[in-house]
Amino acid sequence: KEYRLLSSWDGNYAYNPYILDPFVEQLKEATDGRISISVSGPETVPPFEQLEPVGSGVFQFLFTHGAYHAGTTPIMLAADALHGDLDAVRESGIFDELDKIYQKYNLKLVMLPITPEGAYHILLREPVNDNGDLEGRKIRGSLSYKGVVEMLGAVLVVMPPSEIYTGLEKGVIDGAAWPIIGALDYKWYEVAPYLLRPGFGVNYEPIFMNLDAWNALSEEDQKAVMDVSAKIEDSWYKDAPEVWKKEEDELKARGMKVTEMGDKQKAELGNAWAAALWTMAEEKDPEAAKQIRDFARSKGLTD
Amino acid sequence: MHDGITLVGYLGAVICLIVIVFSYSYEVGARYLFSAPTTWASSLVSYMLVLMVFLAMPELTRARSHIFITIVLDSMPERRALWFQRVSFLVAAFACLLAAWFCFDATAQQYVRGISTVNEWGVPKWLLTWAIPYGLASTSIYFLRHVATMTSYQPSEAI
Amino acid sequence: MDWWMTLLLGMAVLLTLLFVGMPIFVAFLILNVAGVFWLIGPSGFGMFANSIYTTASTGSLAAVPLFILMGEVLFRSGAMEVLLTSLDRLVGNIRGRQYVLCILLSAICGALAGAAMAVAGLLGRSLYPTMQQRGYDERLSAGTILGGASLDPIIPPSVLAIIIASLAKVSTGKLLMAGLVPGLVLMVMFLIYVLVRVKLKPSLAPDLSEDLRNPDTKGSALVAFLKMLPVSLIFLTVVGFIMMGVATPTEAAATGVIGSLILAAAYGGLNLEMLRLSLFSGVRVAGIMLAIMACATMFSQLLIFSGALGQLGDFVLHLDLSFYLMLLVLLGLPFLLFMFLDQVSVLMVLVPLYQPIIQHYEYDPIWFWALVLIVATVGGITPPFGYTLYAFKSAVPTVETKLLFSAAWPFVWIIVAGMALMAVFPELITFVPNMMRG
Ligand code: NA
Ligand code: NA
Repeated sequence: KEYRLLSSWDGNYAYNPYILDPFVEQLKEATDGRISISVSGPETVPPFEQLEPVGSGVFQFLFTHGAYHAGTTPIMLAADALHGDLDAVRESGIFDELDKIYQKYNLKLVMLPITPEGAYHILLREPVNDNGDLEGRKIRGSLSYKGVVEMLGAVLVVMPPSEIYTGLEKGVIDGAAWPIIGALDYKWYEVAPYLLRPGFGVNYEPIFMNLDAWNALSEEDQKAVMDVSAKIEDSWYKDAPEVWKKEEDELKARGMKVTEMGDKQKAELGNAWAAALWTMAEEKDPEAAKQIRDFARSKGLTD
Repeated sequence: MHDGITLVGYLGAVICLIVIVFSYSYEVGARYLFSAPTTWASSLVSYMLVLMVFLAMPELTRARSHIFITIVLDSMPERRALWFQRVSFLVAAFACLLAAWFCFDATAQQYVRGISTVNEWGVPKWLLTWAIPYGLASTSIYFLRHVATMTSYQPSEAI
Repeated sequence: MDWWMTLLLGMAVLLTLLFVGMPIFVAFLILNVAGVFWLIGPSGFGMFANSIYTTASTGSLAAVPLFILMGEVLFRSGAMEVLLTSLDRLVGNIRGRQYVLCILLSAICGALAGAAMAVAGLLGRSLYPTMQQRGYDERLSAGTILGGASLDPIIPPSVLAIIIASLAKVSTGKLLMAGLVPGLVLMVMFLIYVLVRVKLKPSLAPDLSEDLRNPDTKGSALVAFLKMLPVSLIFLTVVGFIMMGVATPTEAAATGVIGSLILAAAYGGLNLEMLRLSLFSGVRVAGIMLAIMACATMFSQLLIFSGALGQLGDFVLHLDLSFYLMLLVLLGLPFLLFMFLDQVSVLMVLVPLYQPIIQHYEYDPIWFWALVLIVATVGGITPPFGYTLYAFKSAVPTVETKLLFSAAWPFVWIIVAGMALMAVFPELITFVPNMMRG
């Protein structure tokens, strides 16, 4: 059967070769073609409006980031604040806790690829100032980056990825926050020559399935989905640092330079990232945020 | 009564436009004179734009300012053209009402589920989207009123 | 159902609705509700509601009411009178000087206002009666105003450029700036045309004695020039902000509004009544255009969803047309449609259809969409349907429709010739936007 997957990013997204493409291919193979997926991107449904049509069944799969639907539920956004390696996260059973929350939106969490620490960074037009921060600058990002951007004295500007290049080029924004890979494919290195280091945060990039579509799958196919997902989660967690390193080397080869934030800022970085995510989640949905945070604390995944 | 609400909505739309002018002017000033960009200007402008468009919609329908193509109607005898347009407006009223219903449903969902916008300055989404079903529903009523009272098919004012 | 059947059916329904006189935004509403129901089913109505919200809350589209507002304030500020007398002094003793004056004034108005209709109305009310009084040819006068007004959406600021940039997802600032040189090129072509016409047939323009008796044509040229500076400052601020990246086009538009308010105050034209009229006009024109856009957005999403768009791309790719032949087709189709339909609705349909094709042909997006912008502009004066035509006609109700139509055609062909020039020498369009890099 032909399924429709909605992705928050276009075909150039740097994560596609490691997550989306193998998911589509391996699932087709594992189910002997019973689950064959066609991918639609943000031109079909804008990134910030994608949860609804997957919940209502227009599409059967969704590949996204929690920040894009933080207005509906902030839980997957807050997940970026968790620490612990893939085994620890799996062990903890938090996958099922998250899944339970998303079932309220008629979604089944089928894959949760996560990364080691350092999954995000900021690209800059100019190096950091003498204080080692970004006082008064405008940094593009989704809500995820609010804590870090504000800790660095800058202002967050939410704009869709498609506008980043021109924004940087013309100086409407002074920098852009993004996962640590992607600047190469989108050619942002041409207009923002500085890499702010260190990187920060872990990155949860889930794939959901419409719950009714999930329930309609045979047990065998449900197992196939989960097996394929687990395999990709494993390989992505293992390969990510190498992929990041490769892109950083290539960016440097194309003339990008590293600019380091000050020591004081470095010390605050981890906390600024995580605390803001939890604060946003608690403001938006206190009950679900508390439920997840308590659970994560009990498993040692967060402070 | 209906016209009164429409006028209030239209004045609201004008206020939205004024707010757009001043929030972006303030943003440019704050950014370049004081190096202190705002966190709210661009969100506010987006919100005001939605409200402006849909608060203005009923008045534009009342005044029959909305554009339509007259070439075919022009080639008909006046009476037949008028009847043609009556039928069109009847269909239009139905379509707007239907669309208003879908949009109302979406707004209600946003209210019930507490969905907010994901701009840098997030607000409950229904605070903005209520204007869409309002604009469409009121527009639908005006189309019906035009069907009842129309005496000519020409738009009453040129744009 | 085959993709082309879906596409044709959609187009047929849309065209039928438009031609029976359905208000345009409703025509799209009907098409999209039916399309959602048919292609997706009731579960798609949430998507439909969201698409309306997403379009209407697109921040960059706020430039549409802002540019209109800026022009309305300036036109009511007293600045136009100053411009007219200054230009009158600066245009020398040439036969046909009112034609020249009209074209230059249109180009300057183009640099101040975002839409052609306002300029056509303004010139129709102010300049046309003078020209008739002094014995200038009716047809050439009307044509000059129509052609001149068409410079307006090409020269920045431009509402149409904002709309096309937002639909085609190209840089708004670049597309705005791309029109600068083409606007000037067309202006020069218009000037050459009227001067040659007058030279060949002197009866088209009266002798100058009447003109020169006007006190405006006397006085110091320097003073006249200096008087034009404050208004130019508004244009330079808006365009300069965009060029230098000091502000987004929308922000620049907002500062332009403030600037024009200050200028109006300086000219003593600022009062509550003019503010009220300007604001109402901004809300009305933008409300009409954005309502169409908001209700039409789902159409392109449906085309992508149904796969029709991808299939069309493949189909066109297999046609294997040459670079210029394809360009001719892509620009000729809207040229024909704009004769009968309004710009926004045609663009809502064509822009998504064109995306895969221009990618495949590797057309420079700014160059291509700037050409589309010019076609859309000329659509305002191609008979029988065009806003610029109607705006002029409602400003000068005495002018015969037949004469208006025949007055427009020469200027249509000049613009078409200008486009051919810009197609062959893309630098005319891309030079300025490329300077914005870095
Ligand atoms: Na203009
Ligand atoms: Na036309």
